[in-house]
Amino acid sequence: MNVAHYSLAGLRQEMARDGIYLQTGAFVARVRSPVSQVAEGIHQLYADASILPTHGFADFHVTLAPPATYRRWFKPQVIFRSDGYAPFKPLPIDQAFALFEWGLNWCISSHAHQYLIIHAAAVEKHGFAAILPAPPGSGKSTLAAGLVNRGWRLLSDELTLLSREGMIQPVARPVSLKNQSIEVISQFAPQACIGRIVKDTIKGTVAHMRAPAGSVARVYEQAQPGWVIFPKYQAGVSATLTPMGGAEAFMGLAQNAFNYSLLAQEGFRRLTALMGASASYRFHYSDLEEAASVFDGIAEQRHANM
Amino acid sequence: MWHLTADTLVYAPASEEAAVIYNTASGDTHLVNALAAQVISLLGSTAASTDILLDRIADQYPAPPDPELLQVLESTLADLHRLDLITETSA
Repeated sequence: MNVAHYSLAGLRQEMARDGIYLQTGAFVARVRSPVSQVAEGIHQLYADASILPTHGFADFHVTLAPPATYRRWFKPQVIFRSDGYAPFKPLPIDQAFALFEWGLNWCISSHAHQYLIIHAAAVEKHGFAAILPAPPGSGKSTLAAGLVNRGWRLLSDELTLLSREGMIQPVARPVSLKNQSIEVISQFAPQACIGRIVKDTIKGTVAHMRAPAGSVARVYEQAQPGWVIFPKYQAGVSATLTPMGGAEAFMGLAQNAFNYSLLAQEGFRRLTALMGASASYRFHYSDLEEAASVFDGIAEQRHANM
Repeated sequence: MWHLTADTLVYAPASEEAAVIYNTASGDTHLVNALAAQVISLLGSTAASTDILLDRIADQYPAPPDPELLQVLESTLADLHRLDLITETSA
């Protein structure tokens, strides 16, 4: 049953009581929370995600609840726990859904070591994935959000998961938009569902965009790597794709991987295989429509060469 | 004689001037130039002196060895030694 089948009141009740078993990409998270902002965010931004039968298997057991202090009566806060452990300090209650997203990212990057986990967005067309690794502020999520509103499939926004077999495992969850990119995507894709805008977070003003229903529906369909593209938003520039050396791209990926060192030789082996299957580029852009056109060009070229 | 300090893994894309070396003992990954990667590959087979390495590298090119090649090779060996990828022992 999808989240959309629940009324908001019903979802809120389930989450406050036993919790829901939410399918979030390759993972199932049992989410319990009496905080209405969490239920509202899930109801709006995970509408197409599945809720699995209660008491089944869950990869992560998370709770978001107000700390048991007097602060619940003024400046209320929320704390994220995974299996009872709180990796972050409490945050203001209006950041509860963003904290849920950040918390799930933490769960995956701290535990899912069957994958090489790269801090990168990933999108797919014609079966091939474009991996977009980049530090915060480079326009990675904005580009990914733009592309998935022009026909690309969302594989992931923050965490690209590379399997033992060298395939990209989808984690089609909401896309995190920050600061100006919220307005940029609102203008670029008026049909996109963007959740509550929250100001003054540690990352500035943030909002999340719902993953397209088609991407959520294909969450079990892995994609073959096709390109490694390091994006950089730069005001006023034309969209330019510049070939990049494989060795340099390899190092860029290793530096953006959460568990490359932990996986040791296996991490090196997976990146070597990834580079062997991918073309590497730097990509500068300012206009999303133009960027999407360049990406469509390389996808069509690859498709034509198959 | 130069030899590897530990087993290494090499990612050396064809026709590129750079390569990636993984040191299995330290877990460190290094971006090196193509000559360094070639030295690592040669030392992966057997230990060798600087002169032997120079001959083997020069053999791969049709032109006679450039006098500057020795200088570049010595600099590369020093870099690889500093990265703890190779070490030198008496023959």
